[in-house]
Amino acid sequence: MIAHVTAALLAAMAPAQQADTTFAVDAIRLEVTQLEGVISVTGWDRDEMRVQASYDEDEGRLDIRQSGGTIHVSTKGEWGEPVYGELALSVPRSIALEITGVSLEVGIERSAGSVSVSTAEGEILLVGGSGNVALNAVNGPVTVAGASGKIAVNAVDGDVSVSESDGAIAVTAVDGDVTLEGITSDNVSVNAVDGDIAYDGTIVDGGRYVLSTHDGDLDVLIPNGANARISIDTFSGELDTDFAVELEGDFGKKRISFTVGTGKALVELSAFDGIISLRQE
Amino acid sequence: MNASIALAMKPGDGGSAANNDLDDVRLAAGGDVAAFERLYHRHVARVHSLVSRMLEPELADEVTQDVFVRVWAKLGTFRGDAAFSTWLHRVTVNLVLGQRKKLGIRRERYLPDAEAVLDRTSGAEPRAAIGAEFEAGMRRLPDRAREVFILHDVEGFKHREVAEMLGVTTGTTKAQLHRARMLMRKYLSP
Amino acid sequence: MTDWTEKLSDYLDGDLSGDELAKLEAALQGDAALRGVLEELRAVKDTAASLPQHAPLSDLWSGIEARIEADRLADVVPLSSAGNARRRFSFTIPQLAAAAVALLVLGSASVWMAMSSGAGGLESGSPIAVAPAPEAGFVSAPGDGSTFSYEATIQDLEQQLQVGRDRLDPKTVATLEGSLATIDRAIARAQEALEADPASVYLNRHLADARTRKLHVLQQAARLARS
Repeated sequence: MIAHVTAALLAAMAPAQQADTTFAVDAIRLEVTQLEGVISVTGWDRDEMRVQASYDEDEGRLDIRQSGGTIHVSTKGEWGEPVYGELALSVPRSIALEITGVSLEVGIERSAGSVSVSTAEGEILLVGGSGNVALNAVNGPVTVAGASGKIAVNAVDGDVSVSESDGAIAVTAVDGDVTLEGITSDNVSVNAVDGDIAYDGTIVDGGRYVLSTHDGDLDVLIPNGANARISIDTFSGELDTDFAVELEGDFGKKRISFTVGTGKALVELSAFDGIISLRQE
Repeated sequence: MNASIALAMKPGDGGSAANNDLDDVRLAAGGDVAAFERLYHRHVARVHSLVSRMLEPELADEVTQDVFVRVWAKLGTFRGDAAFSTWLHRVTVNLVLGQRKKLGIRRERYLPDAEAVLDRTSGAEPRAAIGAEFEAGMRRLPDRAREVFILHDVEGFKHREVAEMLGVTTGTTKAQLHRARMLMRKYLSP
Repeated sequence: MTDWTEKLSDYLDGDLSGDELAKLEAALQGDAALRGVLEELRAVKDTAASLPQHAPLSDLWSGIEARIEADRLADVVPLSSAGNARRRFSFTIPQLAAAAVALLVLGSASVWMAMSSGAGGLESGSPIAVAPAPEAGFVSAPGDGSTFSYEATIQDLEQQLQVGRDRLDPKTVATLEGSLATIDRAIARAQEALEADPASVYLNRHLADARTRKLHVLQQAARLARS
């Protein structure tokens, strides 16, 4: 129960460069705001939260507050200015996480709750996570492994990798490659502007898989036994496929579609300018 | 709203759902967007299904949005002579048919001859997962047969209505319907 | 000799009567194969009538709401310069989707987009994308700054970014500018391609996707700048 956590602790102010505190929680959500620095979150099987923090400046503050079912953690300087800091949090595995920062590297592992991360500069690494997973990065790679649920990744400049994950997956990227491996999903959407896209995962009956890039290659592996209606669009790209697709004339500037098996899944591939490689497992 | 409500809105359904529709249509026609959202949630599954079956599935989301925007603009013309669901259905069909014409939809097939496609895949998965199999079979029907089959057998329109929508005679719709059913039968046979 | 198979659909639908009905029923009595075909056709008909409905996988309401809100705004905001006839522009659906995103993102009453239905497709007060082939249903941009346009929306966001860029890490600014340039190149290439093939559904969608991506990146940048 949150009653175990005293008000004094929840409003803890740590004027020193180091802080380390552990308290019981029954919150369902954790919001962390850390403008600069590094944050690592590890899920554990305890109804407690441990916060270890270190700062660059003497005047840095660590605020831990609770309102309703949400615990808020933030760091700031004396006048509210950004303070570089490193936070290591151990949290109940099921707690929902929302982490926002500007120049922030974020690593999360062994989480079993929803995860939302937004940062401008810095890498995002997520191992685990379930429910709604939303990761937004401007400059830095995003790596997801073992997530489950509704996974949305938006990256501007940086590669995106999602592996061994299941659920609805939506990825957008501008400058960067997108790699999806070991995916179990009936709903995948990837849109890149300048980057390659690779997909290795299930193609299930009734599923929809939309992969689109402007300037990049597509590499898609169609599993054995898949039933899919496959459509391919390009402007000036090329098609390289194991399937016995009969093409009339140039492939460029036209759409082709064909059916594999009973065609119960929908696979839409497009590369304005790039090589579409469609391989059969 | 959930899917079960949408599923309840088959043609001819009456009762409270239709009454709710009428109330919400009145409110929406007066500019109440929340009322229109309720209508959307009650009917989106049916509209989306029809659009998906009549057009290329990848266009379904966009055209479904188009339908509701069109309906919003036309709410003032709904006189209440028929159920809202029937009227909505008419609007959807008209828009879809117009879209087919506009886009000049012509499905490019791996095997161009529909009969050959249906023969080729016969027995691949006999009578298993009948819904998905059935949908896949419909997608392979020749265009006109598919239109007639969906409008008559799936959506429940009468030959006279289908003929009017497609601009053909009832003789044509009956012939195309029989052709479609025979192809589907062949497709589904073990 | 009558091919009774050809009459089975009419029979199933209750469209036979009189002598023809009697003859078919007699044929069915003596022909097990014909009865088999009838039952299979009945199964097809029954299955078709009981197919489940499938709701869309993604939320479509937000886009619809943005478009009808735009329609409402169009009803109350005066059109461009006095004396000019109302300009009509037709767009492909993906372009409209991009417009919807723009409106959704901004939610601003300062922009408007007139949309109405028509035989040639939906119409808007200003183009979202330019594809200059009239036969394909497109009309070029009028360049009229008094009406809503995608460009105005972008400019608005770019100004927000400009105002707040000093608050951003220079590395972030460089990244954003680089990526926006990447998107601009993609947009330019898609526009060139569309000029050659204006009716292409793929190219229209591709252009709309690229423009939407630019909008999202700018929105993300503006949000960062504000923060």
